[in-house]
Amino acid sequence: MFTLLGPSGCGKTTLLRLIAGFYVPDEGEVRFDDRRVNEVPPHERGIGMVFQNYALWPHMTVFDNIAYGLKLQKIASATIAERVGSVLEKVKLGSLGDRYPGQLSGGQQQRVALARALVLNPKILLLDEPLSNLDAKIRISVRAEIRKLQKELGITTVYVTHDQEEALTLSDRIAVFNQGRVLQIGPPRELYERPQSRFVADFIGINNLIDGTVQAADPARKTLTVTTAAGELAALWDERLHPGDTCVLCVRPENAAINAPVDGQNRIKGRIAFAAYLGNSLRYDVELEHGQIFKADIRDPWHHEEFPVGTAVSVSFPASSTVAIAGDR
Amino acid sequence: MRITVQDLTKRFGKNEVVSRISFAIQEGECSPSSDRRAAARPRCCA
Amino acid sequence: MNRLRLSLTPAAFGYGLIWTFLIVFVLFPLTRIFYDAFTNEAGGFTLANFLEFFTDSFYLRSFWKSMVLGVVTVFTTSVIGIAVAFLIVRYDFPYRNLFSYLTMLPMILPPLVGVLGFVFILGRAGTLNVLLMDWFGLEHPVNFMYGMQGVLLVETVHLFPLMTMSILDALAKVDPSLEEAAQGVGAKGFRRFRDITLPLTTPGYVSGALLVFIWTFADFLTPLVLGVQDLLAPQAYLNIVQFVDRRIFRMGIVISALLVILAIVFVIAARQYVAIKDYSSLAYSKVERIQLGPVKRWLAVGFLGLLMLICFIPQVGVLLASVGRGWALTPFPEHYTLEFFRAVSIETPKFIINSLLFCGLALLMCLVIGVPMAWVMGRTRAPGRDTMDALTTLILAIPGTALGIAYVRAFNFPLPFIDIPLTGMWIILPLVLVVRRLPYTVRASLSSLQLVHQSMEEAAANVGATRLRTFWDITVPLIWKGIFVGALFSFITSLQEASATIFLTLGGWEMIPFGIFTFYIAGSQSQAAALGVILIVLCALCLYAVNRVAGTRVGGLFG
Repeated sequence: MFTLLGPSGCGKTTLLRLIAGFYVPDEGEVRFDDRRVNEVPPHERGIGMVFQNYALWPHMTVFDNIAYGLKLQKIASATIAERVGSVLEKVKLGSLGDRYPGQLSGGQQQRVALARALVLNPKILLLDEPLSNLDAKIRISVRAEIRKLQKELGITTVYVTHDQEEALTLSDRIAVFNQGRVLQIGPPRELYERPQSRFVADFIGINNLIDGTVQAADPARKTLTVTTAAGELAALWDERLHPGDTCVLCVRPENAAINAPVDGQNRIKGRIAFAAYLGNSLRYDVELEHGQIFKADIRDPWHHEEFPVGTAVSVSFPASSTVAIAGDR
Repeated sequence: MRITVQDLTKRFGKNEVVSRISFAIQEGECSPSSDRRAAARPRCCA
Repeated sequence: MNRLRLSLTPAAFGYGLIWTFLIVFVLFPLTRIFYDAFTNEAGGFTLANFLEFFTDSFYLRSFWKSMVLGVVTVFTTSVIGIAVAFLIVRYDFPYRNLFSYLTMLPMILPPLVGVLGFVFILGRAGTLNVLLMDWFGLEHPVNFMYGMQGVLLVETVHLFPLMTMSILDALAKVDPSLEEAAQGVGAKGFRRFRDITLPLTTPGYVSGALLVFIWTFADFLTPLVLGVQDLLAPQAYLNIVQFVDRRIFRMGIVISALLVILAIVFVIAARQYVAIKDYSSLAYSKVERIQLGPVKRWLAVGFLGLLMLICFIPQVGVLLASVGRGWALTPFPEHYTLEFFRAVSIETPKFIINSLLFCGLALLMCLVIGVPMAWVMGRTRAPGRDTMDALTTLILAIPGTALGIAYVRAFNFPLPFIDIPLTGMWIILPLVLVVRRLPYTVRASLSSLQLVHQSMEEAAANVGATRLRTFWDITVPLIWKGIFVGALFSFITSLQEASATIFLTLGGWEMIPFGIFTFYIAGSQSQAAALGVILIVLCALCLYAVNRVAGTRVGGLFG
């Protein structure tokens, strides 16, 4: 599954609709295999699309909603009944064929929309924020079902979402969008662990971003030395960064420790400014000496005694989890 | 089916909503066999 | 505790007053005609009146002709109305914006004036026939107007914009992704229109169609001006106004009861239908308009241009007639004069003065009664508010003809202490206007009230504002535009009101539409036309004010 991820208004839905054929591109081209499809109308592209608000026709039953596309192809009604029946089974809605969309729950409507997209045996499945209208609990179960179904069918799937957690769990690869441009494409783990721009680092998960200048590059030890307002810090080596370049260091809260005894790590001094108890972790806001807030997690709050606000602490994190990004990206 | 998008641009009025986007989505991208570990290896699919 | 009771009591008292008004001036008169229709001279229950009506071949024929006229008008207005609505919403072609004003036309063309205008241009001695005779040597004039064909023409031109507006409103609320989803599975062009788009606009269409049907069915002025008497509504008018004998008078009441029954049945049916088929999404979404090809685009312009031309015939007609002296047997007047305007304004100013006075009073009462009604419906759980809501819809559907007759019948008893019946006092005219036009004010206020989230009021209460204070400081500034538009709309339609008031007008109380009707019937066509022009100008001014305040969206007022 390929995911288009980005904040609202970043152009991801527009791109999906260009692939679907609801928009015609002004420049460039879209190809399916080797065929240019720029001007091919949606129904001749062999796509199935699930709309954000499902777009189920309220005046038709579930069965008719799914069967409509088949009827337009003038398929014999016995065949239609069979195909609709089997796709309804696939999405586990076997008995609801004669209901109207208004009588279904959100999760059920979602599955009808999916069934309607799948019944025409599309080569490509396009999903436009299909989970955004569902409750959190249902969202997780539908998410798993979509993933399972897509794997079973093995069709190329493009998924649009603004929810990074959804994107990370569902996708094989993710394209991160901002302001109409693709910033980075890669598997979830690569995006999370090796962001290549400030936007991606900031948008996916939580990152402490520290501006600095490259002091020295050491390809042999795979490290960079960076001068920052918080002192000199070591970061992962990047072939594109050279001494004198401005850069941004990214450190995830879960990779930082407070008052840790281990040596050979980056270490910064600060004071506890705030503590947020999240259940599975405790997140401290540490105010560094130059005023920046640095977030650091305690991963086992059960066995941790909370520091009062104002306590002087040191924050440490290994160079191997400190990512450097060129300053202009 | 493989989807290729090349230098795609779409404008609404004066606003360029999508500009010069290029990437390819491979057929094998989502094959039933592709598990998370394989997908996590950098550039396995590109 | 004390404060709460103090502030509640006047509110409850006001609510009681509103209900008193509705009971006395809506429910009571309607009940009264039903009582009359279902009793004999002695006051016992009987169906004899209806039996007599449905066995009398003349009434029966009138009934069927009215039905047929209604159905055919619904058909013609549907075809034109739907075509115009779809062209304007979905397609792009030259002058599209200009043509979108088509939907506003009926508001500046009072129905009665419309009939006259058509007669001046298309009548036996009208411009078109004279031209045909002059140019093509036509021996006998073509009868465009006098008869059912004329009634159909006038009603169609008058009512298709109502249909267009209902469809426009419904269409604007259809979620475009529903159509895209159909496009995605291969539904194209007409097929998609028939299977998806049209069914989704049915709720709007149905309410539009019902209003068209009821209007046509109950309109007596148009047929009478065009010499058609064997329809139900003209019969009701003639029976009541001529008052030949008790039996015939009672038949007028039976007809008016029939009109009310019809309206009630339709409103209930429509409510049921719309309730189960409410497809509208709240989002008014943008749709990319389709560019028409070179041939189709000029066909669209041609169609709409012709339509607009026909719509403007009446305006041109009354304007020419109002300034033409001795206009006969020539395509256009030979001599021009302003004497008719002088005659109907300076010499006898009563038409204009009465109109402004009565409609102004009605406007005030609409505000005083309608805004609290909207507030009760939108913001409280007061008992009876659903009934109130249903009643407003019903009033919208009840024909003026029926209401006028009901008032004649219900308020002709001498009031205690003053010994004059209400029908003998001029205040009855503003009163009947209020009842007729109240729904516009209520609807507009209610819909703008619904846009103001209640939490804004709660936030004010939270910082210590009393209910009244909150209403005045928070609610009113946010909704006054909606109220203003609704009230002005009530005012415009009051100015044009010619059905209910004609039954109730006595000497000295004549308003403009009454003047137009009586002048025309008496043969003083030019005076009638001059009054018509004045009415058009007044309405146009009000509409301009509405537009300045509200932009163009006034669609939600109907249906």
